[in-house]
Amino acid sequence: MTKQIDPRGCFLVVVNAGEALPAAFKLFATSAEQKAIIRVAGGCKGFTPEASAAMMPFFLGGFAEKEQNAAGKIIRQYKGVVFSGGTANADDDGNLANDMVTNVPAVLADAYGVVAMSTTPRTADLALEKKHGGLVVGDTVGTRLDYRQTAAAIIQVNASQQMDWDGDVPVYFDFMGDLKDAGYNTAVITLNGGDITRDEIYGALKRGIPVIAVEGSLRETDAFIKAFRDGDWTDTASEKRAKLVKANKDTKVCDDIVADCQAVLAGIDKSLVSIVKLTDPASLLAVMAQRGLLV
Amino acid sequence: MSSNTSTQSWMDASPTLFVQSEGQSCEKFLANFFRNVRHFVLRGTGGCGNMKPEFYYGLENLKLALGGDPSDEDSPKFEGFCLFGGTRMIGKEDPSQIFLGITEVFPALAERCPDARILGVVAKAGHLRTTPHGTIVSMGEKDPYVTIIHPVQHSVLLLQPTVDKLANWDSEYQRCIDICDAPSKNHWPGLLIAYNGGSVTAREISAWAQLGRKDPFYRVLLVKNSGGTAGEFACDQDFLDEHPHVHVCDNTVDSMRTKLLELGAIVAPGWQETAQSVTANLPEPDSATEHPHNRSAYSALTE
Repeated sequence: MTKQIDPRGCFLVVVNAGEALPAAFKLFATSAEQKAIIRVAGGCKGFTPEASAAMMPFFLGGFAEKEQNAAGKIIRQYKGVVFSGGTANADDDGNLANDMVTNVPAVLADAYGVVAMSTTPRTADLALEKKHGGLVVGDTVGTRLDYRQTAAAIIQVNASQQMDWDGDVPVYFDFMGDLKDAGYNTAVITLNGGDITRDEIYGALKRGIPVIAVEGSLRETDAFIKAFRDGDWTDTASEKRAKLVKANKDTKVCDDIVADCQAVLAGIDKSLVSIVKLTDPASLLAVMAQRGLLV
Repeated sequence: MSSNTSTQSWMDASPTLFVQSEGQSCEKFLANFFRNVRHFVLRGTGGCGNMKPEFYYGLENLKLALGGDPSDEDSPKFEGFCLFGGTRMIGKEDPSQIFLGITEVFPALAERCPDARILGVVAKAGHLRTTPHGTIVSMGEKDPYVTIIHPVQHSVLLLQPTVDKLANWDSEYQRCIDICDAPSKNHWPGLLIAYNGGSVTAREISAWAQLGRKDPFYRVLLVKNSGGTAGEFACDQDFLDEHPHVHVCDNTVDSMRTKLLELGAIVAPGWQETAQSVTANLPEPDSATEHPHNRSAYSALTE
């Protein structure tokens, strides 16, 4: 059951650019039993049906170690904060699906009682769905803010102006940084994802935040794994490069991106990076244990 | 101790200092509340330069009540976050002379209460001066003392309207109320303890009393026979009857200790293993329309 501190439901704040996340929002992180915070970043574009079906079992299997019997009692688990992008797909009856990376906090909260939080850039005008009143955060009525969380923050430029898709990244990194300074164990788990996910991966590493990269999740996460493990940078920024080539534009910006990423990797402690397999929840469980994230 | 260790330890022991101008937030100071410390906020306030010497004895009582009996390791003591005025008064003629006031109570807890986080909130009431004896934040012409930032605390928030303008003394308690908004919304317990004090203390007691009508975080403990406005409020039965969340204790260690235990400010060692949690004693917020968290604490008072 999701930990609900505000008895009305998911605590929600709307923050303008340049404003800090309200202290009341940030303090929800301290309600977790374990002083740890994990950001789940990325997407699931291009997933096969098998990969989509594997995603939640991957997280459920990786965040708790259970007895290998019918009872399946939890031996140890993650009891900290999990946060992500906060969006969810809703059907016509207002039921939320669990088909996106951004639903991972709510799924883990329901299963293991973690504190689920989110930061969401406001990329569309907000609306209240007319039948059930859910908060619509996307251009279509089915894109909702996941209310099954403890606390959510929407980041906008101001009341009139929307935010870019990466608008919440510096905000959440500052939040994670402050928690890290206060002794919290931190990590970013990344799957799939495009340019923003790549920025999140390298942004985390620059800040000394461990990255757990999920192999087999495609796109920039797999590209990062290839670059980190094999020194092969051909897939880094490749989607962006392909778009520029198709538009007959100069691809130097992609070369610069790769150069920047290489510079980051050259300067980090390589033990900050773990690679796990989407098809193998036990690999995530092992890394979580190794990083002291299971209690 | 190696020279490297001693170098590092004096730096690590020094309080962090953050200067906040009007309109700014201070996330680094607020991040103190992420520390692995019991979720309880104690705000300590009261008399300083105008406190008469006949009331000094009670400051020692408060130190003992909050800091535990040094001869009894099982004695209950304060664990949590403590917000106080963050200053010390030292003599103009002899800077080694410390003038007693409420702000000498809470730094003593830094050593006695290893599971407490002592946080100072200081109004820049005078233009700052750095001296070998500390950073001066206020210097009254007629006073025999100057006010410096207290050297013993974990972190300090210094308040100023702007770099060129001076703050008034009320800004300290107003900012403390704003700081308490977040723990309040997270259902932490809180307590204002007031000893002696003048008009600023009176306004703070009134503010907490009013906030406490709707939000169970804002409880008050007044020390009777401490003089000043805290002593006066403690004897005002009409005020006490109107504000049941305002409590009174006598100016004795035993009475203070009993009340602090009852209100959850001090806990016995191993409290984590006991079944009852302090928060279990707080009433649940009512419906959404009456929810105490519908607006920020201090702005609610100023509307």
